[in-house]
Amino acid sequence: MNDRKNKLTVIVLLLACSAISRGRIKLVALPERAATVIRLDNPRATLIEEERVLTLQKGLNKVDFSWKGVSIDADSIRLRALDHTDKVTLLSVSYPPNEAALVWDISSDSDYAETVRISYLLSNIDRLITYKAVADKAETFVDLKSYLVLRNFSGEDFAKARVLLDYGEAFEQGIAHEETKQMLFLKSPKVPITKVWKFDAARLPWDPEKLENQNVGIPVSYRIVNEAKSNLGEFSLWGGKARLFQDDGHESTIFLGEDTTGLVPVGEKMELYIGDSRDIVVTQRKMQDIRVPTHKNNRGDVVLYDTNEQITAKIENFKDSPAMLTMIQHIPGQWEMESCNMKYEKKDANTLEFEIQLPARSEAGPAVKELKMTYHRRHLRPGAEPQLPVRR
Amino acid sequence: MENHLTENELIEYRFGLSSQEQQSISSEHLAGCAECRERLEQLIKKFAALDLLREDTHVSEELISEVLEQAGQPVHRKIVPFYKSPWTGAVAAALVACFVLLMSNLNIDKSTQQQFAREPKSEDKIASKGPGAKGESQADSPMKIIAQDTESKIQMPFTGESTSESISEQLPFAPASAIELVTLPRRDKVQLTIYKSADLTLVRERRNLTLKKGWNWLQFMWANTLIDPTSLSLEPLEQAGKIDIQQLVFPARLRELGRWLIRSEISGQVPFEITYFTSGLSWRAFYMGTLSQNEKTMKMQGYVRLGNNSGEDYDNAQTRLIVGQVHILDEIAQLARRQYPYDRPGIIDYDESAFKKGVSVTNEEYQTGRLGQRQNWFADLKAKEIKKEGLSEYFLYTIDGTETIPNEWGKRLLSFEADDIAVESLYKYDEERWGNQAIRFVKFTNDDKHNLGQTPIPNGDVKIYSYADEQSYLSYVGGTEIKYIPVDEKVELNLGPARLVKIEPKLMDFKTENYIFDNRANVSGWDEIRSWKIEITNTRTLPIQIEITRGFGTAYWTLQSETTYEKYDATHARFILELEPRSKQTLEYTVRTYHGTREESLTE
Repeated sequence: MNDRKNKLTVIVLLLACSAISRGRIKLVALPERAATVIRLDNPRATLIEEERVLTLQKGLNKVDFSWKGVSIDADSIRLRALDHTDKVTLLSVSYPPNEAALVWDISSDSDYAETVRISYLLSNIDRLITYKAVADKAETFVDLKSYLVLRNFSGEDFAKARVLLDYGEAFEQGIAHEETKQMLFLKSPKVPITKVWKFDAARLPWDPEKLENQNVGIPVSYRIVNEAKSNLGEFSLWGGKARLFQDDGHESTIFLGEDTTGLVPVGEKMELYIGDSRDIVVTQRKMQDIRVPTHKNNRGDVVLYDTNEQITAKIENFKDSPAMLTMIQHIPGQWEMESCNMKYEKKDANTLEFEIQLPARSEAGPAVKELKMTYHRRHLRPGAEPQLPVRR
Repeated sequence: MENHLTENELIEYRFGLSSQEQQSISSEHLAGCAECRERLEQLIKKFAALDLLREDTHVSEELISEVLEQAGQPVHRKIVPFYKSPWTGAVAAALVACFVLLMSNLNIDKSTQQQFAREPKSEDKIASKGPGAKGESQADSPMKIIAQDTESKIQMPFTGESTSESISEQLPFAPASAIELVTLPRRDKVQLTIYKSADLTLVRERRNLTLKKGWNWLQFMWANTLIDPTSLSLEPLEQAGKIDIQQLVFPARLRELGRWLIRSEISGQVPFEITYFTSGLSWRAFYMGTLSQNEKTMKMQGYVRLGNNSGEDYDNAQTRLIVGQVHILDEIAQLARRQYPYDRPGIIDYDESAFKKGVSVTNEEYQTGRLGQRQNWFADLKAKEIKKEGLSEYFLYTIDGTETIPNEWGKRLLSFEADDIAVESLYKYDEERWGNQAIRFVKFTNDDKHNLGQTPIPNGDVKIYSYADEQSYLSYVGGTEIKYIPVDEKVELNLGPARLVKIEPKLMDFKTENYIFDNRANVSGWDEIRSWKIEITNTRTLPIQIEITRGFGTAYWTLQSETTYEKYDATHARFILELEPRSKQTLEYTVRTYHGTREESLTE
């Protein structure tokens, strides 16, 4: 039991005034808190359920539940008798003025030591999820660990409670007010990863030459799939902060970087951005951009036009290992591809995704690939051309 | 006339206490002296109340002399109003109260007498605490409300008319403010009808008043409460033909006080009903729903929470709650705070008839109802039921038995409980309303089939839980507000963003065609064709139904899809899909929108 006195109290009023009195002088018994459940499955609210044994007398009993200094949603408080559900009845609930408290009027048909379960939504107690992933030197898999961080600033001490998430086993844990506890709750060794370099033409500069001696970093991520093949896939992975490390081959690790992830349902991918690579360089240029008027009005103004456009992108891999570069290109409005020397997937009407396999650099120098695509944009109207969404 | 009569001589003359000889001298002097006549007149007024008692009570000569001696002190003759000097008032009241105690025929019960006896003490105590301080005597009988600085009270001054067979047609004078000779009738029954849409409560109290044949004054005081004086009404419940409520006077320079002038053809105890509006009492509904593990049924508990900040304690009050929109012109709290009950001329244009019209339903419904039987509900120790009935455009919730709602306390009562309500779990996606997230709903109908439908469901907060395991541990699903739900209407509870259902719409293709040019060869019409692919992922372990609403920004559109859809309105279409547990589905459609003169092609 904690030395700190619980602020949340249940009191059986042994001697209640004939009516509810303003002074609220009470002669009381303090029932011990028994089984307590802290349910953290809903990130918006934490549900506490606690059991207490109330010594009820035959007739009317007044039970005072108070939560001074603790933030409880008073409307969420529920009381259930567990032993004599038919014989113990909750008659009414009263809220005294200027107090964080309520008084239950409970009728009992006999003298009972009744176990009751009290449920309520408690504020300022929550959980965070963090991930720690250690990749092998070859970056083919990670040892993934997930931690639950329990934070209790609710004003209430929980000496011993069963903590429940929306998945996984419940576990016993006590947590005092202002205490934070980090606990390992998921350990998946050898989770396969795919290392992904991603060049998004709407986010990154096209021509490194114009950057006055600055590097362009290509974002690098680890991709993990939440599925059985990955030793995962039992439940959705909650969002949280992930820190990535790598085995350095010297029985130690280096810190690769950190990222936050959203909720990853079963079957979905988690992408953890670890930093930028300067060993892959993309130089993209627009080689052709010609307007082809298709319709003029009587004054001779162009009212509709098409375009002839050509994009080239040179990709150089300076790494001594092969890499898969994901390149994303955007073409706004209506368009038609005339020719493209690489296969792409149309992710949506205006987004093209290329998966470009880059060999390792050789003695002759970096491995080089070049994308060339020629396309036409159609039915453009001067002054009303579709724009790309702002991506930065 | 050099020698005016002294105050004592006037008193002795008035009450016939002096010798025969002195009486005739005084009479002679009075006949010729206007000043002394006026002084006598004032004295008569001051002691008129006492005149009444002379007829009915056997008061000892000693006590009369004592009182007269006190009253006869002529030095400070000015009348000190109660409200300016509560202490003086208290002493005066105490003095007067002594008389009342001696009246054997007034049927004041023992407890009331005790309160009288204690009264000055209690006033002292409260006065020393200052305004706003609450005494510890809450648990005492409601008649404790004599304490001047807190609550409403009724005082019954007795007028000076005789008990002879005929009643003088001349109205009695209004009691002087400093002298209150009163009975304090017990509040026998109280009924509260609390509205939700406005800060308004109709209070109906029943009190037994002891009337004299003739003219009676009844004083009602409501200091530090939130009573609307314009709503005060007094009605006899028996002997209506013989009792006439003639006036309600709000005396000058006295605040929070009204006096009814009652003409009675009978003597004795008569039950009266006093009604008024007060603000400060409130109620709201809230709900708890608990879904079964498979989420197919729900247990629902409706609660009402009452709150009392009216400044008045209501003990054992029958409590009724009104669901519905009431039309009122003035806020009751504002009326309660006015310096003059109906304000001063030229300040507010007060339309009384409209005001009454707005709340008349409460009077009507009351005619059909009845005052609840006074019950000691602690005796049967059963959870209370709330009875519901429809009246006009309102719904009336009557709480079983009576409730004691002390000032500043709140109370939660169960209004209904329904098990096994069949519910549908529904997800909705509509970017225009909720952005890029699916929203979870629980759907049911307020009807018999769903074990509901007895009454409309008043608006309020709802919290939804679900049973998490066989031991009935709970999981919190979400909370929302519900609007007022009439009987037979569908209820959709919005439980917030769905965490485990994902929707990802993608525009997969866009093109324009069918350009039309006007006579200047400018573009005047065209079509836009968009192909959409919407990927829906259900990561839950339960099957789900999802409703996807898509907007097109124009009323001129045609849509092609293998999935059936309904036209929701001119500019929206709606798809409904069912998804198995942990599954994915793709919805594809192509929408063509018509612009400019191309719109005509659709209407042709």
